[in-house]
Amino acid sequence: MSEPSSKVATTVYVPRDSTAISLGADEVAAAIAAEAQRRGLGVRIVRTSSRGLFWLEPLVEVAGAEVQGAGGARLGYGPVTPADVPGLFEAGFHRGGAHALALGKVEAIPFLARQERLTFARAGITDPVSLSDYEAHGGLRGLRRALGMAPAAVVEEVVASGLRGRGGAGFPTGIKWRTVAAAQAPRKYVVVNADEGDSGTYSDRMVMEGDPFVLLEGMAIAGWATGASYGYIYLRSEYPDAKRVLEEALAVLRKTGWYGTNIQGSGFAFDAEVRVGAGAYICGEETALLESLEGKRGMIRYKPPLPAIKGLFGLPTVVNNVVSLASVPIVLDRGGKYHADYGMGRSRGTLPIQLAGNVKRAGLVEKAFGVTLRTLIEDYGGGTRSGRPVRAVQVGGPLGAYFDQSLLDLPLDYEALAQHKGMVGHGGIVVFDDTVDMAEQARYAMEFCAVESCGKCTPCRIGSTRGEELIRRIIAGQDVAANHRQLLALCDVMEHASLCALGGMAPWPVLSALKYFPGDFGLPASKEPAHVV
Amino acid sequence: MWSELRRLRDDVDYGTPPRDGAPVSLTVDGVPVTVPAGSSVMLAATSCRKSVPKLCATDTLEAFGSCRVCLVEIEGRRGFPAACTTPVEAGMVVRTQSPRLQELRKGVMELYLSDFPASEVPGGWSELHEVMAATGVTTSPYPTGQNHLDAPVDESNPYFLFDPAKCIVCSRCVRACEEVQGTFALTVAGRGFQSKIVASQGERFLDSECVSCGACVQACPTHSLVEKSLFEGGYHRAQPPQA
Amino acid sequence: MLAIPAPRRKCHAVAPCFPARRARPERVASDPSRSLSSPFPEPGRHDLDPFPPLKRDSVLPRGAGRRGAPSLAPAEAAKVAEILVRHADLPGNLLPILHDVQHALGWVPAGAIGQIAKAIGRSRAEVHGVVTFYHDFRQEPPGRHVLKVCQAESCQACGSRELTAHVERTLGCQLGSTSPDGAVTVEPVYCLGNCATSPAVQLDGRLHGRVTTAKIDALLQQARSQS
Repeated sequence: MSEPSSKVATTVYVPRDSTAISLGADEVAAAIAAEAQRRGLGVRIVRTSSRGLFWLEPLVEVAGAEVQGAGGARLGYGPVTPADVPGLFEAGFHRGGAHALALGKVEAIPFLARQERLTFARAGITDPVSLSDYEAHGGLRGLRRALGMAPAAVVEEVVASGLRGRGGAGFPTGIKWRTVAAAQAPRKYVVVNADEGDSGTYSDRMVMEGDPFVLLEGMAIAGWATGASYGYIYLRSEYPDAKRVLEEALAVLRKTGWYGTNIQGSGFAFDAEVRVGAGAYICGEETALLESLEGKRGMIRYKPPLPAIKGLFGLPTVVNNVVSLASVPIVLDRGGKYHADYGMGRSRGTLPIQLAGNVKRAGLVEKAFGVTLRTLIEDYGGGTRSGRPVRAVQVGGPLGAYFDQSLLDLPLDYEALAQHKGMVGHGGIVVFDDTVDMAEQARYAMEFCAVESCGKCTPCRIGSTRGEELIRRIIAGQDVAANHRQLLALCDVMEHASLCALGGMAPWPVLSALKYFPGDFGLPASKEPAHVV
Repeated sequence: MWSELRRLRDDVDYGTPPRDGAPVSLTVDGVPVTVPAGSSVMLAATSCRKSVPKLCATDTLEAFGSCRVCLVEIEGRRGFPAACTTPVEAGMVVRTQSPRLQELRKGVMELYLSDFPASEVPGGWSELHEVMAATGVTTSPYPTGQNHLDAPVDESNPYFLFDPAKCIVCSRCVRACEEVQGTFALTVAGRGFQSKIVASQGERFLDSECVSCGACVQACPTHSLVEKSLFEGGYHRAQPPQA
Repeated sequence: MLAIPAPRRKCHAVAPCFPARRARPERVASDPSRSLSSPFPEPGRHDLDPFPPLKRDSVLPRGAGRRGAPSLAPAEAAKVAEILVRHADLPGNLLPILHDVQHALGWVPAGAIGQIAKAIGRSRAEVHGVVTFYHDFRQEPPGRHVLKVCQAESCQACGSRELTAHVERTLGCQLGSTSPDGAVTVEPVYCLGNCATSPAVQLDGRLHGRVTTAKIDALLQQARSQS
């Protein structure tokens, strides 16, 4: 339970999110426990999810009757190291005492206060595996309502919400569910794409480690709406902590009758399991993911047939991203229109944006579509961590375009970015300062494609290797004009002839680097790649 | 339907397997053609003598969609779908030739040839050579880079040999061993540019589960897998012609 | 130049030693939903004769494989057997099996592949293809410790290239190999999800963020002192 108990004077909250732990949160929690015992203080420690204000992690929060000046809210201290703990106790932090690391009311911190947290409403607040905590903060209301509705009505509610897949493709979730619901088959599946491989992204990880019940609730709603009876969470192997938390949460739901046969007496049966990937970015593409789940090489399947009709083991399958499914319970709880009222144009609802890279205040910003890149990087992010000027920003992951300063006033919206050959993707934003060598970043884009290529189609299998070689030659000053021409021709082939978006979009960061930073390649500034829009 | 299907010629490779289904009418390069529902655009195009160049497709195997040579243009659709993996639809208007398609096919062939022994290009008569002729590409503009040209030849089997330098990883051999023969002796090992065809766990063909049926040899479009009997005096990778 | 006779057929080569193709092959039923009805009046087996006329004096026995199939020592084979039993009823169980084998043995030995293939009803080739596709599965034993250094964009923006160079210098080996003393295997990884606190590394499964050269030195020293 996250509410302070009357028997204990103060509750101290320390995150168990893996980023927080990577910065020493476990050691901090242990130090607090030891120090409290040494001083004979009745302090209760609760391990919560992270608020997503990662520059403050390990962020320790206190709440309770003895905490002064809080008005019941939580006061924060951070970033805390184990060495700071004795000093914190000396300063009376457990009573809200002043200290150099004091942050005041956490929910008043501007970075957090200005957000619109729908999916991440519980981030930093609840114990991830406490079902009572989850329910006390709005959990399970969506599933309860869904089970009282006809499956087709649940699908229409999701359609009305305008929810689009948050994995990167942005396909309308409700339309996908309609297709699966209409398919006739002895069994159907829900598959969660938890292969969050894009650099600069961690929102899936935060949901799975911090609020696993919202994902599992979304999966169950998807199952009810489409007629699927089993779910697989395909989780990348680089997220071992998420696996542990998900399995704990699944056990809790089974024990309390929310997963299994005859859920809450509704007659609905649904269960799920976690399956771990094995180091292949391409398995974040839905057809390669399905191949991998079936125990095969993660090769792309051509479409049609769509996975919605012939998916896992040849049966109708809903494949959705973690955040997409985690956004479903609130749609069912508050109604589709509530969700649709956030956003702009065809981009409805909120997007959990992840600030990453060389940025001072890196963390999760959940906002309705429409906020600009500049607002995110400068107002929320505070500019670079190094203090040097922002030179380049990559939005949407390794296949996203690099933008320079001139494009930072673009709003974060699917259509607006697409017009400039950029992409929202999974919402990650990686910031680079002026020490970045954009030719090297372009070379890396091809290298990454080569490392992660499944090898099925020629443009990606051979093209990415040739692309890396060409850029390396250009960087070395060899035959620059000819190699540049060949690189553009290669990018054209990869973009239009590849079997999937890995080969198809690997040219985007390359072409954008050539367009906005030609000098880094030793190319004249006026040279405009012929076929870039 | 049976009478239509009997009209499929035995010495023509339609690219993808024939299907049963209600007749579907479409046009390919202005020529009307009717094929059973479920057929691929490639089969329709071949049926009306408007063949699309292909490498990874053959009508004894299910479509794979990997070589990206058979791209076509379909009215009303964006992009350049592969003819082998696109099912026909009534009223479809398909174009198999255009400057843009030529450009893309050329680009794909140039990539293949950047990792293919140049000395094997002249005088060959494999399907790859036919596609080189159809696309007008016999050389690669890429500077010498990573390649598989030094891969050793496997001559362990008395009937055929495997020269990986000529392999284009179209996987027809692997698919033939699975779909036609059911032995599953071959696989692609590794991934990406490092992909290579191997027998069993990377053994010589003779030491593997291969039963010497020859399905892979018949399927191979580049003579990478090729009958030994075709070579008098043993197999040598062709030397580049003397200047 | 190759001394090859001109082909008899237009489309693709058929060797003289194999009989001419007379009828289309009966399809192997790998996908039950696919129609198997043969459209031809005389459906027959694929007529590629497995025993064509011999050109040489050697006789090739059928299924001559498995001569050199590697296998495990009894202790390891027993561990693998236990894993196979545990996963027997799981649909699409190969990746979970391989993960557990690597967890138990530290790597996926070539000798395990035949045992696994037999248990799950697939061929050695198929299992080998899967093992070699995924970068997580090691085909040789690792060092005593495994250090994964993130190479992706967010960590690049915060100095991962310099950090990686420092690690390579310190350990005396390149990314993707093991230090000469066998203590540490250092591998590239492409994103650990720790992008808000780049650069990130994972040492023996434990995540570390905001890693500096000093921090990595301390971590490696600690690891070495434990082994």
